[in-house]
Amino acid sequence: MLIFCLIFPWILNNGSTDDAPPLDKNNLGSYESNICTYNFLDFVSENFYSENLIKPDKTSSIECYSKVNGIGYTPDSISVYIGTNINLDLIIQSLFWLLLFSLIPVSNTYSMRNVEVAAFLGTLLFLLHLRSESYFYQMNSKIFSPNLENNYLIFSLLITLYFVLFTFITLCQKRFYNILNYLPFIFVIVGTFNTLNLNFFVICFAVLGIIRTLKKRKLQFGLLVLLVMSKLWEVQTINEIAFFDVDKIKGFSSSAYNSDSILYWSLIFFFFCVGFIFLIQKTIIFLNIDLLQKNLLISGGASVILSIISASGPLENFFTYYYLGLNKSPSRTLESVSGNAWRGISSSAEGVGEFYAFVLLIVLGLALKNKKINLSLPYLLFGLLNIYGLYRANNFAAVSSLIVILGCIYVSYNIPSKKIRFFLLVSLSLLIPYFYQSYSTIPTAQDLSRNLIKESLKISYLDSFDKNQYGQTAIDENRFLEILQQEENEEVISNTLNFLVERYHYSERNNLPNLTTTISAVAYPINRTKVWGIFIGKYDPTLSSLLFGTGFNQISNYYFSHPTKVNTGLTLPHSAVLSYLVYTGLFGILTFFTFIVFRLIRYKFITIYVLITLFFLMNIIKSDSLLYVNNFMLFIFAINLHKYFEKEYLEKFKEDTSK
Amino acid sequence: MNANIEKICGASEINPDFDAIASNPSFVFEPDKTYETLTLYNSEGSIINVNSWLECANYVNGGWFDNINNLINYEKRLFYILLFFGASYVINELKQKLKGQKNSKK
Repeated sequence: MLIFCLIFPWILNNGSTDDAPPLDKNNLGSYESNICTYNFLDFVSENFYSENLIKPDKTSSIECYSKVNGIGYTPDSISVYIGTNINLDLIIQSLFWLLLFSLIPVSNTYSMRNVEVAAFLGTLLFLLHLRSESYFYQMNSKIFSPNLENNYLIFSLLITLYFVLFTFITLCQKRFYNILNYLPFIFVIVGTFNTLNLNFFVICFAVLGIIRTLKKRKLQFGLLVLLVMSKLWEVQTINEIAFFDVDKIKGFSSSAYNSDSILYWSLIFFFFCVGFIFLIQKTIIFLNIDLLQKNLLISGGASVILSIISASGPLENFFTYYYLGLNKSPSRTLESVSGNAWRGISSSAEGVGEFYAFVLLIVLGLALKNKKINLSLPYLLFGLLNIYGLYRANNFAAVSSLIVILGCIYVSYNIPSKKIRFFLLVSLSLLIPYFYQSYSTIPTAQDLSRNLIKESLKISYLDSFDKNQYGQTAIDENRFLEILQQEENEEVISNTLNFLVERYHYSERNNLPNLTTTISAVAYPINRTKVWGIFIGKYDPTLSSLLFGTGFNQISNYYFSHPTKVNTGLTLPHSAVLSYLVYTGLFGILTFFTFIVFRLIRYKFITIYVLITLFFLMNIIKSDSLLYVNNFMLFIFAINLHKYFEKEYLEKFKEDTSK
Repeated sequence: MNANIEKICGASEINPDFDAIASNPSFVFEPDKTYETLTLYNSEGSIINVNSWLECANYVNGGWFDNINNLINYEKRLFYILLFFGASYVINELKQKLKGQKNSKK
C-alpha cells in the first residue's frame, strides 16, 4: 500500500499522447506551450539525470495533477512545476501517513467514546480554518472560495478530513500504549500538508483532545477560559491581516490575523495540547525506554540519511518534501548556509540540532545513570549519524547544554559523596562563565546595552540625523534619549524600544542595574544581540497585548503592526520565550515559568528529569524551536517525563527498603 | 472551422488564419466595440477577457472555453466518489452492528 501511494498519484493523469522531450534552455517553448500535457513520469524518464529543479505547482486543478504545469527559467537553473492539488494532496498525504502510523505495533486497546462526534467537530474546526485563512487557500487553489454554495471543493475536503480523523482515532485506540515509543519519528515524518496550512499530527491529536474534553468537566472549564481569552484577543484585532507568509513555520502558525483565525488557532492549540498530554499521561508509565532510545537513534539517523538523499537530486528532493510532509523544501546541497549550519530535511537547523542533542542526551545520559549501555552495533552507528547531524546543524547552544547536562548527570549518579557532588556541580557552574570570560572579548555592560539598542534603532524608520564634525550621528554618540524625544520619531520607535532606552538612560544616570543591560548580558554570549535587537525594534504591543498576547500561533500582528525595515522575509524572534510572549503575553509566560519551577521543585529528587527539563529551558531561550510542531511535541513529552522516572524511582525505593 | 468557436464566440464572416497569428509575436488583437466582452477559462483555471471575435476564436481554438463549470467538474466528481465510499462504509458498519445485535439476542 505504501508503494502504491508512492507511485500511483504520479501515473494518475497519464493520458498524454505526446512524449515529454528532454528539457534544456533550447526547448523551453515546447514545455511552455504544452502546459498540462506531459505527465510527470514521462518527464522523469526523459530527464532522469538532469539538474532541473522540481517544484510543486500548488494551484493545479485535479485534471492537471502530476503533469508539468509550468517552467521557471533563470540563467542559473530551470525549475519544473509539477501539478499538485489541494484535494488530492489531502487524500494522498493523509493516506500515506495513516499507513505509516498503522505500522506501529498494536498494543492493548484503549476504547474511546464519541469518536464520530469528535471527528465531526474536528471537521467543523477545519471549515472554520478554511474560511479564516481564505487568502492563503486562494493562493493554493485557483477555484477556492469561502462561500459554501455549490462549493464541491470544500465539501470534498470536509468529507476527506472526517474520514482521516476517524481512521486515525480508530488506529490510535489499538496502538494507544505504543505510540509514545515511536514519537521520535515525528522528526522524519513531519506531517505538514503541501497545500494546506495544517499539520497532520496537530489535527489528529486535536481530535483526541476533543474526545477528552467532551468527557472531563475540568477541561470543559478550561475551554471556557480559553474562549474568554480568545474573545479578548479578538477585541484587540484593530487591523486585520489577510495574508502572512508562514514559510517554514507552515502548519503551526496562522497565515491570517482576524477573529476567525484567532478562534481557530486558540481551539486547535488547546485541543492539540489536551490530546497529546492525555496520551502522555495515560501511557508514559508503560514507556519502553530501551525501545524509545533505539527509535531516537533510528529517527535521528534516518533524518541524516534522508537529508543526504534529498540533496542528491531534484527528484529525491521533491519526493522527500512531499511524502515526509516537510514545511519547506529540504536543502538542495550538502553545503552549509552562510558557511554555517546545514538543516537537511528540517526547516530549522537549530530545531533539528536540538533534536540530535536530545537523542544523545537520552542515550548517553541513561548510560551514565545506569552505568551501562544496552545498544548493539547498528544503534551505535546510528549514534554516529546523530553526532554528524549535530555537528552539521552547528547549534552551539545545543552542544554546550548537552555537554554541561551530561557532566551534571555523571556527577549526580557516579559520585557517591554528597559534598563532592555539590562541590563539583558548583565548580562546573562557575567554570563555564570563567572560561567564557577568559577566552572571549566581552564588551562592558554599557557597551552591551548600547549594542542591543543600536540594533533596534537600525531597523526603525528614523530620519537621517545631523552629523557632528567627526561624521557621527546621535546614535553613534549614544544619545538615545534625545532620539526618543524628537517628535517625528515618536511613531517609528516601538514601545518596547522606547521602554528599554528609558530604563537604560535613567539607570545609567543613577548607576543602577537595569533591564536593558540584563537582556544584553544574556543575549551577547548566545549571539542573540542582533536578532533580539530586531525583536525589540518590532515589538510594539498595547498594554493588553503585552499582558495577554495576541493569541496562540498568531505572529503576523507582531510582524506587521509596527513598520520597520524588516517587514519582508520571515524574521523570527529567535527565542521561543519571546514568541510566546507575543502569543500569550507576560501573563502566559509567567504562568508557564511558574508551572515549570513548581514542577522542578516538586520532582527535584528525580535528578535526570530536572536536568532534561533544564536542557530544554536553556535551548528555548535562544531558539524558535517551539514554533515547529515536532520540537513542540518533544518539549511537551520531555516535561512530562517525570511520571516515567517517578515510577522508576519508586520501584527502586521499594527494592532498597525491602533489602 | 472549430465548431466550438461558433458556439462560444458566435457567428462571423471572418476567416481567421490562426497559424499566421501564432507565428507573429507582435500581433495585437484590436478590440471591437460592438463585440460583447467574453470571459474565457482554460483547464489550468486561468481567466481572460476577450474583446473581439478574432481574439475569442483564437483562444477557443487553443482550447479555452466559456463555462467555468467545465473547470470544477472534477471536484464535483470527487465529492460524489467520496460520498459513495463514505456511505458504503457507514452502511457496512450499520450492518455489522445489526448483525452483532441479532447474534447477541439469540
